[in-house]
Amino acid sequence: MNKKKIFGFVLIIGFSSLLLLNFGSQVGGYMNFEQAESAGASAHVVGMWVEPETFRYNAADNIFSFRMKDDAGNVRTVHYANPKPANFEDAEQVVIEGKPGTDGVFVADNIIVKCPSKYNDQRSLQQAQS
Amino acid sequence: MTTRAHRSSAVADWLHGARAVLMKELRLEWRSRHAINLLLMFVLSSLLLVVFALGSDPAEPPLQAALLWIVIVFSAAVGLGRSFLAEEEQGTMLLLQVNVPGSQVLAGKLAFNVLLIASVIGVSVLAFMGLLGMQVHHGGLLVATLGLGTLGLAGATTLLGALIAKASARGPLLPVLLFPMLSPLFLSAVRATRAALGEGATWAGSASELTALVGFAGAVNTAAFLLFEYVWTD
Repeated sequence: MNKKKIFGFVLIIGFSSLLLLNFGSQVGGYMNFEQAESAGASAHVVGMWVEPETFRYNAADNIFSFRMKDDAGNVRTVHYANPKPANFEDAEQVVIEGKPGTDGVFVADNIIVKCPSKYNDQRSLQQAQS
Repeated sequence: MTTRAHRSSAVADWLHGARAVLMKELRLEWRSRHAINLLLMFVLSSLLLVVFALGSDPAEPPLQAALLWIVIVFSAAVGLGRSFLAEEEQGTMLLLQVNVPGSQVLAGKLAFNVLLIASVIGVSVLAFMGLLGMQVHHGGLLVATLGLGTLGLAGATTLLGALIAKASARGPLLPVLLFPMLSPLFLSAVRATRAALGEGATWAGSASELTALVGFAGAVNTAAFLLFEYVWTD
């Protein structure tokens, strides 16, 4: 009887860790471009734009596009159906929310720009402005 | 040699008892067809509402997956709480307690609930394909998801059904206890179903959802067998 109980508890711990580990990775959390492409669903990707020359706003179609490198080092072209967000050049980090589109383009519905704080860190602000 | 023979006969005894409980449930169900009629009516009427509400728009796979699992989970909550309630109402609980050990009762009831949920899922998937134009791109993934979901749902509803059979306000108690408990199962199952309905579905792409479903089904069923003795003999 006791052996059975111990066996049962071990099983429960094993199964629930299996559940928690895999469930935790599904809800919330950020993905990189490759994970977002394999999931095919809406995703948050953290990264940073590369090469400011590639910023392009097409006023006729209302599409802002740029190249972005995620945390894992994948670089993709991102399309955003809005004008360039404010403070985009000063960003230290951008989070885009959207879906992988056709031919390697990532279509963002939303862009969140993280800028250096004016209040805490004088040095990083100066660096960003210089 | 003798111990092995002894052990295998104990296993055979256990299976025999569980099978007897399952046969009793099936026979009772066959005579009244109470649960299966209730479940099928629930599935069909909620599905008709969905079809009317959507009109002629073909629904997208994410919406279809969510609707399918909402129908399945709600019909499970409506129909499956009855398995132990009926014993309590008919006063046959004591008879069962005297004659069959708890784990065999649980195994029999669990097997019966698995069959009920499997039939509900079969009917609703066919109806979704017929009425909503649901297209399946990866049949194996869908079947695996539905199978694992059935095991998890049956484990959770059977244990909770046994728990609430003794409570006084039982009507709304099962859904209230069940839904929060089912949220990991529901989310993983919806995501895996959505993947199976969409194009380009792979086993590898839904591996984490399927593993989560295996974990849920295993944890819930193990917990049911561990805890059932206390619920049953109390």
